[in-house]
Amino acid sequence: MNTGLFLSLTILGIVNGAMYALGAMGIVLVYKTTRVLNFAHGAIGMAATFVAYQFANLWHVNVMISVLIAVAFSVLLGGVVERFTIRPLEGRPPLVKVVVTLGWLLVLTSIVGIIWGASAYHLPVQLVPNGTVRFPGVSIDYAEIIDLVVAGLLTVGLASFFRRAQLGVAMRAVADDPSTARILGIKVDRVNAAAWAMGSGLAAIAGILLSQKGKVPLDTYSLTLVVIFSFAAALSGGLVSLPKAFAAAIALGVVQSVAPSLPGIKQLNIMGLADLLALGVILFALLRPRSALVRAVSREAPESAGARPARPASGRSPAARRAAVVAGIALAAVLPFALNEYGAYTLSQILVFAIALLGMTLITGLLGQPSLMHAELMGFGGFLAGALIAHSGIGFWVALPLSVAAGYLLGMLVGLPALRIRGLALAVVTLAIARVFDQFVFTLNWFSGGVGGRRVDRPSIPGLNLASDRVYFQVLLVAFVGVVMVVLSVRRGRIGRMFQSIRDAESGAAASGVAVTRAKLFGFSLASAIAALAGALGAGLDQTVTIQQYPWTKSLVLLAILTIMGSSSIQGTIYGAAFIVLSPQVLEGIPGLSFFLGKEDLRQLVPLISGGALVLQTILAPQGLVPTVGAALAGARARWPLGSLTHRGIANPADRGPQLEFELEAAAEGVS
Amino acid sequence: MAVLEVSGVSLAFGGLQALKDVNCHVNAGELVGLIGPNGAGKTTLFNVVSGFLSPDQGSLRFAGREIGGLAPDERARLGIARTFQAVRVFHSLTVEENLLVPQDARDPASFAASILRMPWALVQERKSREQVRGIVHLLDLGSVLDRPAGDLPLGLRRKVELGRALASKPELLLLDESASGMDTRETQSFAADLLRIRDLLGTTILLIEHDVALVMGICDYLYVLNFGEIMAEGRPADVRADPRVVEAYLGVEAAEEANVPARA
Repeated sequence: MNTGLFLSLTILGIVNGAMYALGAMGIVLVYKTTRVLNFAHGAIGMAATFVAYQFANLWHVNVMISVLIAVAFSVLLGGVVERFTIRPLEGRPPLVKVVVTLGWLLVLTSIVGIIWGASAYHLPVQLVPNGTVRFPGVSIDYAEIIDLVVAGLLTVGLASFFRRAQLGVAMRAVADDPSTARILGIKVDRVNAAAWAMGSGLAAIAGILLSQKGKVPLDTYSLTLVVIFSFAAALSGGLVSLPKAFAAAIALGVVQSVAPSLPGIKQLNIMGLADLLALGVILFALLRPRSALVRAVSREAPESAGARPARPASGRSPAARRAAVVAGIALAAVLPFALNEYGAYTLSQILVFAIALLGMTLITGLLGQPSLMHAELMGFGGFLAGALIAHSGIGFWVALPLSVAAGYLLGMLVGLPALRIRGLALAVVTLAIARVFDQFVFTLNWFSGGVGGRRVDRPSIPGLNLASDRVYFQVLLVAFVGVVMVVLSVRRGRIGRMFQSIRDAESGAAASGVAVTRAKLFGFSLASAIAALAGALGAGLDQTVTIQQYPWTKSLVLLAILTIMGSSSIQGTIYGAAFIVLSPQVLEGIPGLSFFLGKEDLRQLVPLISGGALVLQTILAPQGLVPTVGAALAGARARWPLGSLTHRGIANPADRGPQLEFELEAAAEGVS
Repeated sequence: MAVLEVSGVSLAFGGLQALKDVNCHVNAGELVGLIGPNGAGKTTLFNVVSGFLSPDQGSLRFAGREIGGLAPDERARLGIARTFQAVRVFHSLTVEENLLVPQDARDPASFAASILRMPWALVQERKSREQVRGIVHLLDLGSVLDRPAGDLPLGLRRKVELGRALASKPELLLLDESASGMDTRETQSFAADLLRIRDLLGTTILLIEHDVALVMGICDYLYVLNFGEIMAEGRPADVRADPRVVEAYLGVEAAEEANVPARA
């Protein structure tokens, strides 16, 4: 590579890095003050960038005014998010707040997608005229100079703000000890809102600058997920140090920019290299032994005194229960024969997602660990089964168990960092891994079959006409019942107790002799194997696997849906799967709606509804919908005179676990 | 025979020397108290012994075996059980399930065997439940057995945590201020529990406690920790009479109190 190219790439890298740094500063600002890791940071910046685009490019408002409007919008949005959806969660574990920010991420990306189009090309806002400044050996764009100047000014400004300004000092005080700050007369709520507003303002500026010249395409996906690079930088600074975050951001930007053109790497032509690098940085930052960060993001919440659901008593005897379950399964088995082939296909799809969600109940519900990569694990199972069949000519029934086994091993591999990482940090890691899957693994032609996807022939069993969706449904039903049995057995027995002990108080579990690492690894592996099973069976159902089936928001939607339903509820997995599969069809069927919205927009409504519902549910029904509704019904029945005769709790007694009330863990209790 | 031997243990957090060349030992069947003012390093020492912190220097021997390199859960399975200053029960599990967890962790059946409900795994589970029944009886937890531990008042949560620690049949029990927040009557019943545990189960106990009357009343031996160092040790009566201890920890009132029997 010649020096000129190297220099321009380095400069481009520095510029991109400066933008990641702006993002990272916003994240640090919010985290430092309010201890909330804002996954919607990129989405807020993205939304603001589209606002600027609307004013400047579509309404031809003066560019500077448009930018100011966008920043003001973002500041307001940040304030609203804090005031109405974060503040009500005071006292709840940090991960609950993270889940709310994930909900916002879904909401914002889908709203922007509906208004401006999710995949359409948008001409970015142009802040400065085209042109370059020539230096010996290299020339630099005006836009790049603006980026650097703005980033530099904001960094210096923010640093001195924290040191000198009254609000900055108050933020530091709140960060250190909110209750003491409150006693000292600092209006903690206002300080928190200010941190969110400022952080969101920074996100807007970063988004607008990043989209210039198409450095990052102006679409809902790219700008939203730049947050991963900013997370990498913020984590390198221990989530609190601005200078370290800044340096890490620049370094990451330069390496991402230069590395693909380096001899040796260039030939490999690795797609998603930038994401791999970011993942590497994140893992490195988190896996340094005894890093202050690990202690910070893994701090065990004080024993939460939050309300726990009363265990809804089921009025039925075990025998009656069993009879009801058997009757339910029998009914399910004949149901597709009452419908046409398309109806049977839809029911089959519901079962596929229900199986995947069942796997998720193990990690999210029982172990209390967030996973933002479950859909990718599903996709992995489907693609691997397809690739195995295509490359080695083995049959579906051989490829299926192999994919499940590979899913198990993959879960173990991914779980390995989870040995040390948990809670907030695990959410970041799984999000980064999910992106590596989307950008890298799923783009490998030999694995995924490329853009066209991979054909998977409907498997056959002698004597059965599996080509009919009604019959294939029976296969899925058997798998579903089998997985339910495994999940129930885990939950009701010794392993479930160990999992929940880890969720409730990890140090208490370790002190009781529970091999925490081994148990977590097993949970991850089992959940991954189940996801792979769902993916492979789904491939057999659809007779094809494509990247389009696994859009990047899918994992977030899965987590949202499961959380909404109640993260360890078995019935919830069926309702949730039904929502995922049916809601696009139902929405298309609403006459007025399809008049206003195109087909693609209708699809955007699913993440919108699930994200919005997630935010509302976390605040209004923290236990999840199924247990809450179940308890309400049980209560209503108890008041009803004939209650004792008709008592049939929907909620499962095992659903009592507080939803996503993740208890974080301290490596140590600290100095006595 | 010494169940626990701590030799030359030091640990610093940044500039703060939390533990300075600490030497102590606990003999089998003894009830030993660890006292000292706030910030003296008592809980830090517990964290070092139970494996949640690794010391900068020094060695730890448990039942004659070096345990320095072992993880907390490994030490727990060897027979060191502990409670926490801030109670850490498994709040969504019932009391019975809380007590079953230590048994679950020691269950030799594989995870797969447990999930598939193999006969031998079920036998183990039944044994675990029987084991737990004994502790429930000992601590009188029968009436709350099916309640989620998180729903219980603090005193009962502490008891559940104590029961959980006992459920692993530990050789050594580390209790971190288990009586804090208890009223006089609860404290008395707790003291009786401790003596029963020692006498009936033969468990060796190391106890951090601020309630001087409780410590003096039931402990066989005392260590006094001050600024990370063992300042004094000995039988309760000797420690109580030690002027340095009186000055550093017990305070003037206690000193006067201590002097009364001496004059009498």
